Amino acid sequence: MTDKSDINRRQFLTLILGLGLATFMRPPRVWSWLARRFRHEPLSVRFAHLFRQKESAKVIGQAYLQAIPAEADVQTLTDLIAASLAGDQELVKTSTAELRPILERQMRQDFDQGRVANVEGWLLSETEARLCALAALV
Amino acid sequence: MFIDARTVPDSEIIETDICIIGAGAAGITLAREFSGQPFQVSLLESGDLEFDGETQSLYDGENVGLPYFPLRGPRLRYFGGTTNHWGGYCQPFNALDFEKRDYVPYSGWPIERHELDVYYERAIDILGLDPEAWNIDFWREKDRFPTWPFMGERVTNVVSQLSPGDVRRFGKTYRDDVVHAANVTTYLNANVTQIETDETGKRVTRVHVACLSGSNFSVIPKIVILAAGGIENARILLLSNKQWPAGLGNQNDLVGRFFMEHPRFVAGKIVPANPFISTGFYGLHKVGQIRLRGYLSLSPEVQRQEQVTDVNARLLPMFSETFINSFKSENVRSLRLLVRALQSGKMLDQFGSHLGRVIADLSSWQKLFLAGAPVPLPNPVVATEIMKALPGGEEALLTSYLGDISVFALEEIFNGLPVEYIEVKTRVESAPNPNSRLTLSSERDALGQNRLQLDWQLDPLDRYSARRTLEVMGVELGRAGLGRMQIELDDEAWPDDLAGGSHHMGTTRMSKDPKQGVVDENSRLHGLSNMYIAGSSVFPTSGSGTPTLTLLALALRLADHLKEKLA
Repeated sequence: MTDKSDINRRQFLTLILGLGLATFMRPPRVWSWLARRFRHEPLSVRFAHLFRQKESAKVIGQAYLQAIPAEADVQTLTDLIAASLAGDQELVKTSTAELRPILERQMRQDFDQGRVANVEGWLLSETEARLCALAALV
Repeated sequence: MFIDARTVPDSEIIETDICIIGAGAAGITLAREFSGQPFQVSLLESGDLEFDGETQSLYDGENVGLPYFPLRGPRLRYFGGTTNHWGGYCQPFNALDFEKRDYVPYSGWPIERHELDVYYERAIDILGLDPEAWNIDFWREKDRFPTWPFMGERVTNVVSQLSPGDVRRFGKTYRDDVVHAANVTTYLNANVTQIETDETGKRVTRVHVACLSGSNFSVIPKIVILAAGGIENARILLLSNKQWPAGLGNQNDLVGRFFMEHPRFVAGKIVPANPFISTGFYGLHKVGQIRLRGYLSLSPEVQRQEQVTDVNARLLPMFSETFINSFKSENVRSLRLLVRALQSGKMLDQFGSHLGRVIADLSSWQKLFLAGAPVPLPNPVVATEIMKALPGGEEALLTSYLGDISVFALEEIFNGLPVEYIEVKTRVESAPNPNSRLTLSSERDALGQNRLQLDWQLDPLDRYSARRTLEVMGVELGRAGLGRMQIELDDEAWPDDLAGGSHHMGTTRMSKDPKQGVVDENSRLHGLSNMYIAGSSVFPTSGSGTPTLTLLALALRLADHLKEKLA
């Protein structure tokens, strides 16, 4: 299991900001460029590149995968995340900017329905924990 | 009338109707309630009207359990008692605190919450509080700081209201009432060393008093009320062991047991989704004339569902060092001084130096551009430094390139500082634990009396309650999109910052059954017809609310009970 010190508050803070859960830092213009660049990439890559602070996501993802090794597979994780959202076909057509509110809504639903993962003491939605896990693998 | 007990002739015997031992919040309240009644009251206070080190040292003791304050620290031994340094936080107990809960061993009071309603009203008045102040809807209309918008009612907001500073020092506020009460005589510097009973042990016949000066006298009361505090009440009973080796009222080995505190420690952190989330409601703040602090808690229904005790969570926002340093900087200080001078019209010492500092700070942004260029061109060295610092390190450069004053101004622009994270400090209703106890130590004080030994222990339910409460709060934070919680509570060791709240409860607990309590539902000592106890030592459970308001309500109830009895 990852040492607690590996996921410090600063890493988690930058991760939260990267997911856009914080509105203090608006996504810079480069974000739109990234969104266009990755539009035609596989869903797994698009999910993994949602994070501005990918290194932080990787740390959390690795801790998650140590606890749930059965999900340590890119396709498995992608399928699990997509299944809880709109469905593969629609997600393929969805832009990254459109994906973010879908994911945020899904995360809140996860909490509402008890789909919560405890990763090194952090209480995360299953969806966000799996997104981090994907970032660790892609 | 006040009498210095050191002037009472040695071996004097004083007859009285009611003898109150201790002039703290409970003792003074009882004395005031008895003022003007057709019976005589003798109020015995160990200390004088002001602090005295020698008397205070009578509180020294040993601590052999969990880390705790030195026993002489939280309490004050002079007229007014611990109210002389009390912080003033007031929170009534709720109905659940009084109920028998199957998941909390030894829980349940022999009285119900509603039986104290009328006494809470009177206690609220004595403490100068607003009776509406614990109603959250009241604050939603009046407070400039909002409460956090959780969904549903699983997580609730509770409030601690502060008794005003000019009211809560009972020794000063109510001194005149006591001194001018014709039927109340207060003996200062009077230390109770032994309470004696008749041969049957069913009636108190004498209270022995000793002064540090060496003189002794006795009080022969019709009724005794022990009101010396949550720790000292137990001590005096245990010391009254000349006739009853286990101590007075201790036939079932309960005196001193069930010592309860409100353990507090940082149990987690919240990273808010919005760094500008308002935390003002959860800090100490003023609304009109009322000072209050808000806390998060679980609703009573959820507490029952989760089988946890009541845990209040205090939110402590942590701001980045960049902003803290800017606020404390000499540049911002100079700006404040200049503004103050301007407003007052008075000359400021070293005006030129302060002005120069402010101008230099406000010109910091010029470093971003190449000096001397005919048009504003970015300074490549600075641009490189900023790019290297991204992501995450850009905040540290703010003061270098915007200056302290500009960073300080961000607070005005964004209506508050961005919070880096929020510490969650819990205050736990600790489960009654018979192994958490006070006993007499072999060390003796200046009067030759055994000192006390405190073995403070907590229960696994306390740890579980803190953890589970934060887990529920963490889920609700996520549900409401407010942020994420990290729980930092170890499974075995208590946190390093574990501390009490100087709340001493449970050591002469209340129960109808003498095998479960030291006093009955009227605070009368089991087995004794004329002895009563006032104060938080009678609490069977601790609640998560602060004890003073409730102990005052109980004292008022006891006063009414005795007035009726003596009528």
